[in-house]
Formats: sequence, structure tokens, C-alpha cells
Amino acid sequence: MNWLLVFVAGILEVVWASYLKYADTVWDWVITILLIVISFMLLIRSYRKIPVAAAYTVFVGIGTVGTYIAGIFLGEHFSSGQLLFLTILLAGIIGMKSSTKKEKGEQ
Amino acid sequence: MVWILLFLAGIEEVIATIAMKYMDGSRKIWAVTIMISGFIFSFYCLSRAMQIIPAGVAYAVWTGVGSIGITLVGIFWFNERFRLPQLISLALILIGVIGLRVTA
Repeated sequence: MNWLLVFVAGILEVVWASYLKYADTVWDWVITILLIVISFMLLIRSYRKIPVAAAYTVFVGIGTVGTYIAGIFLGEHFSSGQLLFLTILLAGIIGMKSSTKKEKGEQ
Repeated sequence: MVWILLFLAGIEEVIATIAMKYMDGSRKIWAVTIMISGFIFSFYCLSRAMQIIPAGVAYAVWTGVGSIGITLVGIFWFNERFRLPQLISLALILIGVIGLRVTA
């Protein structure tokens, strides 16, 4: 159930990030902000049952890779080199989040 | 230009996060105002960047820059400890961002 929250939060992240590119009216912005808020609320709620680092890893993974893949389907330029650097960046974000949270847990 | 926008978006996100720490449960109006305007400007810069480069790349760089910024603020502003895993993660993010910049 809690992993479902993380999964839905990640998908919403992909939706708003892909939608933001085409947002140009006030309503587009309202919808985007609403999606961002719901996405974060779901993620924070999942923290009650799942370790933060694990939940965040899955969340940011779905968000980053999902947005890139969604972009390809929407007709964006795609290259294997970009996918490689995207993966390296993702590893860095996950590492940063995991190591920072561990430190807080020790205090 | 687009990379400056993403850099700005990252800085605004960091400012918003610092303000969040000072909010004191939304009692401090100035901090709440800085936080909300920081996030709005950050998303605005992200959306502008997305009009020029692929959304997936902009999103990844935006998340990465924000992540580095928040960690640095934790260390230099809130006196959190800096550890080797963080240094490695920071290097990975930088390699990722620079690599995306070069392949864009």
C-alpha cells in the first residue's frame, strides 16, 4: 500500500514535469502546482512506513527516467549518451539523499 | 542561457528550502512569503528551460542542482557534517549535469 503511494507520486511527477513544458495559461499552472503538491503529499505520507532513502530513491528514479522516456514519446530528441549521463546524475541524487538521511538518523 | 535558467532555478529552490527551515510552523510570514515565491520562480525557470531543451533533461538537471545546493546549505549554513559518500554523490551529479550539457 505504501509503495503504491510512492509509485503514484512518481507517476504524478512525470505527468507534471511533462505537462509543464506545454503550460502557458493560468489554468495549466494551477493544474501543475496541484499535481506537484499531491505528488509531494503522497511521498511524505509514504515516509511513515517506508525508510525515507528507499522511498525517495524509487520516487526520484521514476520521476527522472519516466520524464525522459515520456519526452521521447512526445517526440523529443533522444540519445544513448544522454541516457548514460542521466543515469550517473540519478545515482548521485540517490547517493546524496541516502547519505544525508543516514547522518540525521544518527544524531 | 537555458543552463543559467536551470542554475537559477536551483538557487531559488535552495532559498525556498532555507526559508522553510525558518518558517516555524507558518508563523513567520516573511519566511512563508520567501518560500512560496522561491518555489514559484524555480518552477517558472524550469518551465522556460523546458521550452528549449528536452523536458526530461531539464527535470533531471533541476533535481540535481537542487540536491547539490541543499546539501551545501546544510553543511555551510546549518553546520551539518560533510561526508565522503556526499562528496562522491556530488561528483556524480556534476558529471551527469556536465555530460548532459555536452550531449544536449
